[in-house]
Amino acid sequence: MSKTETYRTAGEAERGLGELYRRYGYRHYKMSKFEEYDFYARNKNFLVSSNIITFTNPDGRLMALKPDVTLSIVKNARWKPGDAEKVYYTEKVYRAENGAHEYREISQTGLECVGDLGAYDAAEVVLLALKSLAGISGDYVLNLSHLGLVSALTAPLGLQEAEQTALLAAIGEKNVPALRALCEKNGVSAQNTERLTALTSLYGTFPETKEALLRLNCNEGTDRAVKELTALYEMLDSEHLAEKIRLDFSLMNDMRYYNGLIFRGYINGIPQGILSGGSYDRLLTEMGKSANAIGFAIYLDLLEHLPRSEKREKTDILLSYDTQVPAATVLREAERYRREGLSVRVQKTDDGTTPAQKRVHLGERTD
Amino acid sequence: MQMLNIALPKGRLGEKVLAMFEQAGKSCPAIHEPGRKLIFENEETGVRYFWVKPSDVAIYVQRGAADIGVAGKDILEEYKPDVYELVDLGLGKCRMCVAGKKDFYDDRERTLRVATKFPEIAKAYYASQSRQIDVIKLNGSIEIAPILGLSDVIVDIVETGTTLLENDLTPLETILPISARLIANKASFQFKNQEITQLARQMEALCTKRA
Repeated sequence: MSKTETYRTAGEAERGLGELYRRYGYRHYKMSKFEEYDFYARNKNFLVSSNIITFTNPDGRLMALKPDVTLSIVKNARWKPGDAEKVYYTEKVYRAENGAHEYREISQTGLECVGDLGAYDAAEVVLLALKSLAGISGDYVLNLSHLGLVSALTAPLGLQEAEQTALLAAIGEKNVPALRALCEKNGVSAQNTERLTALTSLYGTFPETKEALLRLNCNEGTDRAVKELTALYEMLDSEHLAEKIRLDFSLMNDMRYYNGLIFRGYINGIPQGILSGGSYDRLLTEMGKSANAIGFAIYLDLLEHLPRSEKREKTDILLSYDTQVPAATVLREAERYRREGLSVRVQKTDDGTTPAQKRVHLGERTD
Repeated sequence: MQMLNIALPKGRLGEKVLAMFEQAGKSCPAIHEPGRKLIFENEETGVRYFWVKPSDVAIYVQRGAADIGVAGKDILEEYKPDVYELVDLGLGKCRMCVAGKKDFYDDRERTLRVATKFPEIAKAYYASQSRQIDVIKLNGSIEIAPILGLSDVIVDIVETGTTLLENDLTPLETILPISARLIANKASFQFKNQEITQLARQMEALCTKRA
């Protein structure tokens, strides 16, 4: 695929992205349409939505149409010590978004990297997230956050669970007035309030936010996170891939499962994030596995928001013909154009409503 | 310059907010011309305004039809749209209250019947008190529900309390204070970042000045 050409439909993207992930050694993961409901129920907080389609198997077991792919990959992942399972998938998932009243089939593609992971693997996954977005549009942005930094700044405050949830929600909304009010209510020191405010408002490329990031560094936990982010930036920058990254710590995900790096990708013209990912070691701990995991998903249905190029909508030639013209002649003419590499749509009559680059009519005297 | 799409809530609040946006340099003379048009733009200041029903502003912003907009905290709490909440504009101040008849006696042995336009806020408030309630969703004239015995209490917005008083009701508890908020679409925030953050800062400065 050339640099200027981008995926415009879910089908094109599935093929293009699959090829990209294979080049990085990821294996294709295929899963069945349904799993036992109990499996999802046990990990329901990990799911984007708790609304799942369930049905009863003939043997009486309660089943669910898969609302998610990651859980099943993690459950089945096998790797040797010092190694990792690297897979990608293209699947349909079924769920109703929270608050929505209808179930939807959602096309999702993504990849997961599970096992003994290091700094290289995290960089590889973020790099693939960037390259996936670049394949869709040149006008994209990847928000990057580090939950280790957020938790190193919020955990020492010793808030009750409800207050902590409210605080994280305020950071997630970039809601500085609410954040300040919560800090005041809970007796958070002026210095820590300022740090949290700075954390919430921080947004920009690495060079733009470097100083602000260093000012947030105040304990062992923040130091580890800042070093990890800086090392990641340096690796990606050396490959000229860092300019589309925006540090943004308002990006949140459930800290019961996610830790470390998390990220979300946006494409100009699509009103919500199209790519969502991060490292989720804690999910593995919950499932009784001791390993690291990082991955992302891309919601391909959102590509519908992008305008289609006119050329793709129109066939090259609309071929219409008089009823007296023999079918064999019509076929011969159409195939002649197709051999030249043109797309041809054949219609008995042309009322001018079907879009086409060129219109050809076969009359009585053609043959 | 990229156009900034701004959803304004129709009504008094919207007029005040528009005045603030104009003070912040986003003027648009066409919007003051009489008529029934709903969309107005000014290429010079790079702004496109449109008037929508106040409860719809959050939908326009969440779905990206508007980059930013102004919505009441009541709407944001009720619908929980996935947007950034950048500035508390301090306008349209009121509070979400539980109100009932003056002689209301809270019998905790019975399921409380609550009439409201804001079922999610009501459910969340009583759930936080581990209280089971029977929510009755109404679209207007909430105040008559307790009088006619339709509900025990109402959950509604109280500005001055005059309407409640005239209907022999009184505020019993405050659930949350409400004011207008500047909200932004999360994707627009990425691609029109400078325009949005700069405007948000100017609006914030205007609020501080007014206070």
